[in-house]
Amino acid sequence: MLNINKLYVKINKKIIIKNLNLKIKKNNIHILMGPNGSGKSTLSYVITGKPKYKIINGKIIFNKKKINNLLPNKISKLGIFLTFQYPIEINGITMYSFLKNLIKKKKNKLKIIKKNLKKLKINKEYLKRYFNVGFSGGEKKKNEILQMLILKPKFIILDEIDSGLDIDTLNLIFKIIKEYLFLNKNSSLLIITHNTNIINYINASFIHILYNGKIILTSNKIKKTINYINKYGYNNIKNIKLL
Amino acid sequence: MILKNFFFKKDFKILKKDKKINFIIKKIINFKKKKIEDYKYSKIKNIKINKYFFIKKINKIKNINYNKKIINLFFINGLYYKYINNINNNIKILIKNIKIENLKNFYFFLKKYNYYTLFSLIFSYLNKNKCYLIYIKNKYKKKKKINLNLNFIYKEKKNIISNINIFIFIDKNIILKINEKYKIIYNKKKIKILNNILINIIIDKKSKIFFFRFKKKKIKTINNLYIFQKKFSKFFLFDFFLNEKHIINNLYINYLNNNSLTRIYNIILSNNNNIIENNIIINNNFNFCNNKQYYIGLYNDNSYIINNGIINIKNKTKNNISLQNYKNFILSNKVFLFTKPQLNINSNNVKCNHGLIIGKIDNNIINYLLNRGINKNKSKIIFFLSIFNKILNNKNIKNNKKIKKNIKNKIKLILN
Amino acid sequence: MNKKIKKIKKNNYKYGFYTNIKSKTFPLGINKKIIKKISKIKSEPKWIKNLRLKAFKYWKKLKYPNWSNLNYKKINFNFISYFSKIINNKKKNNKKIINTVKKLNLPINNKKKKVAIDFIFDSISLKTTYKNILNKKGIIFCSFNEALKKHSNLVKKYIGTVVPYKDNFYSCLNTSVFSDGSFCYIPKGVKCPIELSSYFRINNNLIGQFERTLIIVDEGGYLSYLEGCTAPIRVNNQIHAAVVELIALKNSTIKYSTIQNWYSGNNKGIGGIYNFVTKRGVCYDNAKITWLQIEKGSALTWKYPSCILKGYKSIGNFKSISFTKNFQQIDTGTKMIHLGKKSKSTIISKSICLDNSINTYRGLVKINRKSKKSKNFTQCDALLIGNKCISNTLPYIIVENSNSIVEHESVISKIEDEQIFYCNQRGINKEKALTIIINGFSMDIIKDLPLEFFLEAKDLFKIDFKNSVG
Repeated sequence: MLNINKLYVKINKKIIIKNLNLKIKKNNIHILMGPNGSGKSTLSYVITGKPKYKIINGKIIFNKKKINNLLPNKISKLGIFLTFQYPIEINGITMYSFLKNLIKKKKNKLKIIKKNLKKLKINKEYLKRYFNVGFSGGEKKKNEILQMLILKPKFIILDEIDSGLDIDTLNLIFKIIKEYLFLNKNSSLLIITHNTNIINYINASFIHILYNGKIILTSNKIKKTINYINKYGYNNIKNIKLL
Repeated sequence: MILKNFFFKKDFKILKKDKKINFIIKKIINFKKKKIEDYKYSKIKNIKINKYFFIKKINKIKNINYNKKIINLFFINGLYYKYINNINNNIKILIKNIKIENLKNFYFFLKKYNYYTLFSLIFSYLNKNKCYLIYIKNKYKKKKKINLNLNFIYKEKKNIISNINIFIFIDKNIILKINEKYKIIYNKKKIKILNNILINIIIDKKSKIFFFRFKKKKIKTINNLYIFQKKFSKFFLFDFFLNEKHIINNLYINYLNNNSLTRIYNIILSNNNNIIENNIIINNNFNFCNNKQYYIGLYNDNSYIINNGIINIKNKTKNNISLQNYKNFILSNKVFLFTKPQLNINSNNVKCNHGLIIGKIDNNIINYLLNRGINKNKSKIIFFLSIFNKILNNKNIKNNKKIKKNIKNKIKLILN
Repeated sequence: MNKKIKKIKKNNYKYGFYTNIKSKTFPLGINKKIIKKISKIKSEPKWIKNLRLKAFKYWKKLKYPNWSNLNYKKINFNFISYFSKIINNKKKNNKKIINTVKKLNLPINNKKKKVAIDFIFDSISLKTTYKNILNKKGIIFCSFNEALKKHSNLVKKYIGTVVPYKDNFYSCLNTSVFSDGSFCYIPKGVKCPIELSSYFRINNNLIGQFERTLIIVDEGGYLSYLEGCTAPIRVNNQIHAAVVELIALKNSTIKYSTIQNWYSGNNKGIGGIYNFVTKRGVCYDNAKITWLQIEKGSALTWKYPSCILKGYKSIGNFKSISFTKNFQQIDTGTKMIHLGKKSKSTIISKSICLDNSINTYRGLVKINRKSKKSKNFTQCDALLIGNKCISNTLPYIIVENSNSIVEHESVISKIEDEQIFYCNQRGINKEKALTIIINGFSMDIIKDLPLEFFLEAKDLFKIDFKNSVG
């Protein structure tokens, strides 16, 4: 599904991602971990085509199509979705009038939105409130998942969805994501996280460790890797190959 | 009309004949047409220059005390006093009759950015074309700290006008503290002094300048301060006007390159019939310039206050940050306060902000303090000090007890 | 010429059509004869004629004002026709007018939207609707011409009290040549049940529109008033100089909303209306005046809807959003003059700049010595989108007493890239994302508009950003 080949990325004259390779197949769940500043968020921005992130070398191929220099809205329409770590606020625009723009169908827009609201246990009143203005951290994250359900993407990147959430919401969010993956069998998932407890919530098939802009480890032995990180941290990660 | 008030009658005629400086006269007249609206409320007409005397020579003066560790320059009655000299190797001073034509280039350079004001131009003539160049150089490649005192001393038995035109060039990597100081010898109450200063400071790369102006003497003053900043230079201005009869304070900050930083802190405490006019222009001609201005004022009796602040942001510049913040408190119904904070923005990549509050004393705080057994006058002083502390707690003046004491005393005086 | 017009018509200005209709138009130029002729054709009372002549005499002495930030060629007042009237005999004309009304989307015969409209076409008011309903409540709503004849006393008492003819250059010109306008009187204690409105349309090629509106709300009354305006697309510039006077007596409330949607010129700055308007209201004790305006049209705007807060606890509000594109120039703002004790005023001004436009806020807040315990709050926000646009903020603040509070805040910013990227990531393209953000920015003011305009206002900001965003 997603194939990244020998990728080099720079921002403001600084190279952040060096020679990165990543393959994700259909109906797969991958976890991406790494220390702060290793380039995890950068990777998510590059895939979604954020301006100012320049690809110097390499290819990003999604469903046999090169998406290197596409506009972000076109990448989105191909079916790539990113949940933001810090979702933005738009003053003056209600949730409803924003969400309306995401639905292609002309009829029954409100119905679709309300159906998904119920799943996420969000109050209907929120539709009248301004987009993310005055929302708590959890509500903002729920809003991200709500948009995911509406857009029905094929490839989802969760950028630190678990930071700052209480256990109930975390359970709810992962329950919904699992449900979504079950219903849409072609979709796959990339989870970017710091939280080593992530394996308690979802069964992933691969784990990648990103260090200084390079993937230094890819493994399907997830528990082992995470236990190692919990014990020794990222600094000794190079020795992990000995395992 | 304003022009005629300003010149000695003779001078005006002579100046008009002189071709060499005729171009500036024209400029003034043009300027007058354009910007006269800015001086609509100005009380500049009240200054009648005909009443003052211009002094051409000075004699030696005994008994001047000064701190010998700090470089001191003395200007007596508006003329440079060369007999005291503790200048070290770092400073070069050229004091010559530099005719205005030699500076013509510089004035054209000013013209390019439209920096002219009525004041600065007129006073450069009154100065009889004389100006002082101070060059502060850094012999070492390291950063160097230097302190400089500019002492203005008045010693005369009649009304005098002092015109001083100073250019200060500052080398790279210098941390310089400039202090303006005033002294009056033979002070009789009837004697009037009009002090007008034109200071141009050109700051080279990576230098840092602190400029302190702390005024409490009763002198009519017209300050013209031009700042030109090069790359990565920093300029901090601390203005405290505590007891000015009539002050016109013109400040122009211009950037010659990217990444400059400026901070302006201004406190005005005014009572009686004081007139204070603040005209500040900041020109953001380059990218990544960062300037913030804070003004706090407390006015009583018949104070007459004008605050003109202009922020210009040039076309196609990027990432400039400009902030202008006024806080004013009026204590009497006879105060006249006019404020005009302007923003002229020609670029879409900026962060600009100006805020203005004209307020009264917060009664909740006063009541709280009254409950704690503090009397009303004292609690008012505490209220105002808490506001002034936002400037006074700045690390560069935090340890200066003299300033704090003076401000506290003045607040007491105003509230009574 | 035709080619030029076709080019201009590519501009998506909806109301740019022209109604081909026979009318009687005065020759170009301004002089005593013309003024007498205007007065005669309308068969006015003598005192109005004298007022016109007095104003004209004064106007000739006045200097042409050039203090504003606007750049334009000096207007030649002798190239303007000051009066144009449809020859209203034939049935054909009636049909054409009805068609025009339909095209303009005016709710004249709409039963769902109850709005009384005074429709002013060039120099003359054509129709005033819902007169009967209003008459039952004692409300007078008619054209200015009619008011001069039927309610002469009221007009004579109040005209020129808020905006005297000596006030400024354009108010003086207006007083001498004004043709028609609307008049409204709400009697004591009556709350007007429906919205009243006037709609101004310039149709003729050479005419300048000079109308006068006078609104009086007696003690305890309430009125919400709307004003809309459009004009056909033309190559030349036309002038519109109006005077609006509001009088809010004790305990009354007036809400005056404007949607300015004149033709604003094409993307090369050719054509468009020059708009010089003097709007002012007086508030007596406990009265409240709210100015709401959406500035979208006209090549030049020079307009400062202001309040004189004369009474005890009187309130003045000014809410404005101005949207400029191409080579438009807007110089707008307000004057809040506090005379009464405990008076309050709020100013919210938002501006959005595109292309090569110039957008200026100019506002005066004056708190007089006697108006103790007054309050003012001002907020000016600007959003710059184009690379070549200019935004100016020029507040003038004068305070003369010690227990008033004035607050002024102003922020100038750009749209953050993060916001656009977020919308893009959700599959919304850049133009739509900008529209969403701009709509959000201006929502504070749009939501206060009367419902009748609400739908239209939302459409106002659907604009191609192709020119301005690379």
